[in-house]
Amino acid sequence: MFPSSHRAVSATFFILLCSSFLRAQSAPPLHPPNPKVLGPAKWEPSPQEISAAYWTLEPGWSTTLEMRNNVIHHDLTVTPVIRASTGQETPLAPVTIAPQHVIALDLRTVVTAANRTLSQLGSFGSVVFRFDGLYPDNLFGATIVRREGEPIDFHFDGQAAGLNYTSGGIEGMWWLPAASSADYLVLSNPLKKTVAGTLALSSASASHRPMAVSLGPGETKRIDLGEVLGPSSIGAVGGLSLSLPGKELISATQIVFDEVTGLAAIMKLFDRDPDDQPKSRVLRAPMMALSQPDQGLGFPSGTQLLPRILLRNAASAPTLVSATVEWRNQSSGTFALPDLTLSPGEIRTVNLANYQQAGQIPQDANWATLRLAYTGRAADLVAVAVSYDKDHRYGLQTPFSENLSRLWAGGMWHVDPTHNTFITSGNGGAEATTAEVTLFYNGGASRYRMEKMLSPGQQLWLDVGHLVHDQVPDSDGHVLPPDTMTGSYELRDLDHATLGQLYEGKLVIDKTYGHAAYGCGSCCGYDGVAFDPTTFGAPPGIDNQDFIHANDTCSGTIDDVTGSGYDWSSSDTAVATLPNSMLHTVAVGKATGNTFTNLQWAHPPSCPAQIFAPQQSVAVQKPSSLKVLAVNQIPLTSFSGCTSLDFGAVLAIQYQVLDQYNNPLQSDSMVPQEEILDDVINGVNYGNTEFPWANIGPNPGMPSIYTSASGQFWDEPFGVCASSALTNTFTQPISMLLSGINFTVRNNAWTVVSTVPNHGSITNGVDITKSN
Amino acid sequence: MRLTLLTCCAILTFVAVSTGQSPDDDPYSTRVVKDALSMRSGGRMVIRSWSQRGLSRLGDGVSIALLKMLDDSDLANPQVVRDLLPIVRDAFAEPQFIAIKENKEPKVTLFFLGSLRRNLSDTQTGDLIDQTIEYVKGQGPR
Repeated sequence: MFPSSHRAVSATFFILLCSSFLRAQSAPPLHPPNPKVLGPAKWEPSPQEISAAYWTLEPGWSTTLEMRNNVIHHDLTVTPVIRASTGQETPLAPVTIAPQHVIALDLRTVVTAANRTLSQLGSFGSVVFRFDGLYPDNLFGATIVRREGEPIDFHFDGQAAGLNYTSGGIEGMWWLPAASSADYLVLSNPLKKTVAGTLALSSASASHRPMAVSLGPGETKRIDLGEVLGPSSIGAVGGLSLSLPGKELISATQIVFDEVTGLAAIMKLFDRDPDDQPKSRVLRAPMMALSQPDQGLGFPSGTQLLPRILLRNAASAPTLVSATVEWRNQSSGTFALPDLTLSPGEIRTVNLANYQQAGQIPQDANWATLRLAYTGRAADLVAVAVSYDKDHRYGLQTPFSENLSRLWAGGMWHVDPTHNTFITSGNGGAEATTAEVTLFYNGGASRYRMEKMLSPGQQLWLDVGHLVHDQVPDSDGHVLPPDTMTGSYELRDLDHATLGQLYEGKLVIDKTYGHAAYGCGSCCGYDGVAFDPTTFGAPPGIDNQDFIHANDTCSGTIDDVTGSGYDWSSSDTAVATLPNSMLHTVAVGKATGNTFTNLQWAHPPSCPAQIFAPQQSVAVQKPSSLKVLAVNQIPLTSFSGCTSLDFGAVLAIQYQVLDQYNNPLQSDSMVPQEEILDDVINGVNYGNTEFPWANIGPNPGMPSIYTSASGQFWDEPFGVCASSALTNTFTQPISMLLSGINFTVRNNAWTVVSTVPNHGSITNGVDITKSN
Repeated sequence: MRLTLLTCCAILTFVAVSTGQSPDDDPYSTRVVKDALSMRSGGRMVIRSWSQRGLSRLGDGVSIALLKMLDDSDLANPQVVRDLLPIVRDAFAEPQFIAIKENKEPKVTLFFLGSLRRNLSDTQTGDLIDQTIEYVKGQGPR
């Protein structure tokens, strides 16, 4: 067998449009067995980077860098690089992060005297987290930008950026709730080339000319949309479209804040995928606060929120939207809103408070997961859920996302006298599944695990402060130490481990100011899907259990996903068959093994379902020749009965069996045999002194009659010992007995000459000659 | 003695055939034993790897081959006996290579050597037989 490879570079390719493949497919298994984690992938790191859209150290603002090592078996050394708005880079001191650990750095503290300009007026930009790893997903990186002394903070999650990823543009909505509000569109270019696009803003009250936008390498532009739109837009919501004709994936985010009222909201932007096709889609916002806020948010008693869904149809055709509200208080329920049809470009606000007042959603319901279903392309429907009191002082905003995942790697949770964290995970699939939430603490070395079966639509909700303070035991009976204050987390779909059904959300609550900030985890997909072995060589009649391996791009492990393979086939069944994962070699020749597997693909910024089609090169081999690996002359006394006073020469020869392509035939099923023909000693012909074939093994160099697993064997001892001087010539055909067939692989014509005791020469005249 | 040896030979013929380990045209491995014997007779000694290998897989089977090959006069000839004793030794020299498990135990060989010992009056050859008996006993299964 040829050596196998786990490398990401493999025969894997993606089928998207190839009709011949599609015809050949049957359906993926509905319930494939869970992948088995085989262990860490070989640590062959290469430079990786992820970038977060925004930092600022302008007066009154602070920024925290958050980094989590998603790799389970290896430290990561990360160099945060601060990019000024011009793109100029300032690397900070590298930090080493233990597996599953999360760390936070206050940017102002780590900025040294040498780069103090970063904290000067007008300083802002983007952050790049550089490290050596296997995949960008090995690291979760984010920035948290805070207005000091105000209930204003924003989480900007990092994402992989590079030439491998493309964008079909960005859709969003602007919002200027009050004259004192600011709406910043922050665009940063993580690439080493200039990116150009066009920004189009729309509103009901005025027309706006499209703006050309150009970003140099590493550059960040912060566009004050309030300034661009003018006073007529105050109190309004409008459309935002950024077209990127070059299809570069840039980093874009939009924040709305109000230093007078304390409002802080991220107006989520939706990326278009240039290869996207219309289909049924579901957007979910998992942590929307309803009219009566959860006491855990720490808002003043009597605070009433106005939960609203802001919608924009960014498609060129009318879009039908079906919205449901999955509410919860002490109990839970679902309310379906009347269907909405949005005209192209239309923006509509849905006030959920009306439904609560009407009793269609319980008035005391605290939380809701919003579910919006429509048919179209990604980003055709732009949706933002906001829930603030009438003064925009208290409240929170939660983003919509289409992503479901098998595994989410989350950032930092906080629990201390002024902070708490809520973590949620819901089942967005059509069947029940078991969700597992793991909280990592103690530098990533300890874990707290909660497992819960979730029906479709059902949600798991963890109040981490409650778990710590009330010493709630986890699914294994462990409790979090009472002094635990921070850690990281992950969410895992235990029953759908290849194509997960879980959505997620996290709220970090700052009780100092009565503010909650939403944070996201990173979905974890697969890449490097490949056969193991990727190439297979064996003689006819061999069965081999094939495997499909895939790299988990977050944890850095290799998973065995063989159970999710389907439609196994061979390109030539006369050479080899592959009806399932068991490969069978039939006859000498070459073939290609194929299968398909439907897995979540690590494809930033999401982890879509993807059909992978790994391939295996199969060479059915026949023993054809021998390669000499080693020749050692050994003492005559290797033969019992011989002494150093005798004549002759004795060797130990190691051979490698080669196939018809001169590749090693790595099989332990071959029996090396020999004949000795035309045996002439000192001119006397003794004929064929070994005939027919006799086994070469076992002998002192090979423990059985068979070749080793690598297709090697020893002919040891080999030679002649005599009590008097001699010249001995003979031929030694060597064959490999395999599956009942004898393949002659070599014909040695030997000459042994010894005229002095304990000295002699032996040669086959080609590749073996020894004398002493 | 001849009758006793032939009885023994008949029993072990059955054993050798039933194991099916020998080539069809040489079920008792007489070819390798004959070659080895010819290379060690007449005062010369030539040992070749293939012959040595073949012998080392025989174990107790070597005695059956010798009985098949040799007649009463050979077995009564001290020189022939002295020539065959190293071959018997070689057949037990590497017990781990003996192909048939039953042949690791030198039952037939000890019987065969005992018969030779009783049948020969030559003291020197008798001593060599005794040494070979001790050697073979020492190589047997433990």
